[in-house]
Amino acid sequence: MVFNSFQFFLIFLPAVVIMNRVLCTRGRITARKWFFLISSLVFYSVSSVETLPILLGSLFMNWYIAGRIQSSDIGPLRQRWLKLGITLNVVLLVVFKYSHFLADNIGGLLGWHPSLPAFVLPLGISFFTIQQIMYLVDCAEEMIAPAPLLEHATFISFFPYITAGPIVRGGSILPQLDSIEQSSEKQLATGLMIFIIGLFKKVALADQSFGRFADEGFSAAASLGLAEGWLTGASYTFQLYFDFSGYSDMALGIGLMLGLSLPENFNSPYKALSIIDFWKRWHITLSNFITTYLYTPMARSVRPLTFGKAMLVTILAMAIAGIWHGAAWTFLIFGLLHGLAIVINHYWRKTKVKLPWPIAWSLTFIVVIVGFVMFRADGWPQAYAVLSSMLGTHGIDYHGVFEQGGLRYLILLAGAAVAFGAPNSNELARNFNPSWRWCVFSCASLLLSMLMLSTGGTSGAIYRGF
Amino acid sequence: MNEILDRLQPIFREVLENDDLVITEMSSAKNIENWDSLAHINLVSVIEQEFKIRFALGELETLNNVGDMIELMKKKMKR
Amino acid sequence: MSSSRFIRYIIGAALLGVVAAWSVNYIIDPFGVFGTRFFPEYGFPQERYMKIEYLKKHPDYNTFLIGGSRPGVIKTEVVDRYFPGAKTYNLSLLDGIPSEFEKYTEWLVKNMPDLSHVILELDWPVGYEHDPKNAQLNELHPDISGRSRNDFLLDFLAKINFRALGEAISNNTGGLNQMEYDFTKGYWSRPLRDKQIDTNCDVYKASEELFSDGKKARKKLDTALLSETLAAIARIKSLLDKKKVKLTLFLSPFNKHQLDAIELSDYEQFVTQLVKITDFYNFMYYNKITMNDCNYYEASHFRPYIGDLVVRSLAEHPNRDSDLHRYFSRETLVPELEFIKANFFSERSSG
Repeated sequence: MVFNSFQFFLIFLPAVVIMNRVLCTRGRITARKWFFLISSLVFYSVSSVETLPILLGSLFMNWYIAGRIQSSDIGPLRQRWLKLGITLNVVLLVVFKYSHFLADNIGGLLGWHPSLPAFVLPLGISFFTIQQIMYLVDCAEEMIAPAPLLEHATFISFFPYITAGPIVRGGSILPQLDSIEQSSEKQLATGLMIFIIGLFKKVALADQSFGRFADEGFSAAASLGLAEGWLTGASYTFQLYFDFSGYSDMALGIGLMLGLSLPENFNSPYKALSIIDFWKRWHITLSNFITTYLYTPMARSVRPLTFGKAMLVTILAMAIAGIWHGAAWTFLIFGLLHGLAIVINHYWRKTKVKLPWPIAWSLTFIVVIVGFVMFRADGWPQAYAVLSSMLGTHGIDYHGVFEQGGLRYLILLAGAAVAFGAPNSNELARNFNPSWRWCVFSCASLLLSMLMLSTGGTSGAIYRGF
Repeated sequence: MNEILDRLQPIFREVLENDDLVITEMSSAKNIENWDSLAHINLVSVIEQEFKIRFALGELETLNNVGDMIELMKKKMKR
Repeated sequence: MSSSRFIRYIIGAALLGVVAAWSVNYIIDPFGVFGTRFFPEYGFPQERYMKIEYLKKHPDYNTFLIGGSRPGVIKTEVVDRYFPGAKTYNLSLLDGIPSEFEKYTEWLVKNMPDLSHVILELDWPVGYEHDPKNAQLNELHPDISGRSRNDFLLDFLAKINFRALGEAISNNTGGLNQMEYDFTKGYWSRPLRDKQIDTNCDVYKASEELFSDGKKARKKLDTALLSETLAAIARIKSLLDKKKVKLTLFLSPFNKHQLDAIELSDYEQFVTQLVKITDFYNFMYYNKITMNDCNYYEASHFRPYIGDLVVRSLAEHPNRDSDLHRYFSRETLVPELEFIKANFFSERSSG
């Protein structure tokens, strides 16, 4: 079940919101946690019941290890439990997400081709693994006390963020599960508004507009002209932003409707004037994880930490972050590219030369587009084809890959205006006050999204031609 | 309080490579140039050595202003 | 504006949207699945569903035409006339593919007690791919797909299909694609198109862009698709043999524009393997029917009177010579292939 489906937002979500309000009004804290847990497991099972045992296994494992960590004193024993916990989480992730990739590549080098079972990628495993690693570290450092099984399971499997983030911390979610403060009407209205904005971004902008352009462009990767290459790269760049930030908005909106505040995940990333700035605005909860739980421990273990070594650690951390996105070389290259760009960014800062903002912004955005072409490509050949077309190697003329080129530029411009000019949904949420204008805007966006979602396409050649 | 701030002052000047820097409790990563993620790690490492304390990973990201930093250090040094 | 009013309005708008969409679909019923018939014409009738619904209530047919949309114009009365004792239903399916023919044959075997004869039409196997955009039309009857009936109908209630709605509106307001579709017999025609063609065929040919569309570059035969096709036909054949049901197989009279798109070597491969499964009637070559565009609505669909000729050829073979079809069996394969090669060479070079 995805957020942008009728069964979710017309049936599942209203039912959960109403039930939550009933439980809150009656002050039933424990019942509410059970209710959250059960609805989250239902949500998970509708999409991926076959991998539910893996989620449950991971929950039990981490709950148990967190307990062992707490009961052993600060010292080597606790460190050993922590290391064991992190290792098991990473192993679980590697087995289910990367075993085929590793077997193909290492096996290819050694001339050894094991036949592995065809694992189904467990839904949300990338997210619940990271969340629980952070949780174990926080427990070991006594930032938080390990939660009982019910709270632990609810916190990890909670449906607003299990499939696509934001990546949340135990310290911010667990206390909220224990507070039963009724969410105010204002909160409910704000949540609804943010959810609708997210839905519109996901359905109307990402899926129905930019996604289509990007699909067409990438499927014709070898025959793109200069302008079409950039159009393709930019379309995907906007698609990814509207898709991902839309989904995060929906998650935040759902959280608000249930009286929970979830961390912001995007802050107008395409307004960034440097790559370092970009990563402070793009997928913020992942950036925080990379900085705090990947980069910092690696950097701390290097003494003395010179500038050069810090840069190496940065590249390593970004490479890991890249491959976290998926088991393919293209994701690794994506991470390395951004790591390298951050390093250049740091060196540039040392020169204290400030670029005029249009140049700074353009350079940043070009790196972002190039990175996302790598991110989207189904392999190096496709990435190379699109990237080289952006350099004009397939000709600088228009090849007619897109029908109605003019319209696309207009839509692209409109999307760009939203991403660059408009306040983002978090800013809107902070200043939100129900008004007629907002009401009309929300209703129109909701109805338009619903219309686009319910359109059963029919191609031109019905009863005519093959 | 001021004692900690006084001891922090030279550390900040050295790590951030700015001999004229004057920090107050209101100073933060936002209003001090060069206080970026890299400098942050270095600051923390030096402070940990100097004060014989250790910050948790989860604490580091909340430490980007001097006031909070001193509060947390006071707590740690009492233990 | 108060928050609670804001929330109420949004919930109201969502409900209103749902109710509006559902009522439009229910009342206009562009696919015909609800059977409301507020309006006389369909947009795109959902044959896979409507035909089975009809047959469930009328299980007394013994002869069935199965195939893609091309044999959809074949009149069952004509079949009944040429095949004594036949009570025929036309179970042609738009975009039909062999795996579906197999499923529908299985359903017939189970549910039609008098079943004695299946006439199966085959297309050229490169065409056997469903366009995902036509998913609603290609959805099988719930009894056959195993889906729940409510789930199936809910899909048609909730999904807004602008093309189908538009076609329904156009057909109800005199659009030329208007179909005469009789679900008690299963066949269709386009009377307004027929009239248009008969009035002045040359003008029609020039105006119908799909005739020139057919001249696309030759599409290579997909061998995986071919073996799937042949496997499905073989299973249909053995099922019908077991139930002592007669199978008549024929290849559609392809319009010359579509014939032009076939590689001769692919053609040979296809018929050579097909004949190993069963004998068949082959209308798929250049002749006076297929080379005259006036016999077609567009490059794909021959007109109903050609359907009459096809049925007559099937019924009277071999007593009456036909210059429309060739009979392929293991014994005649070699000379027939020679004939096809010569036919393709002479007609393609002259055309």
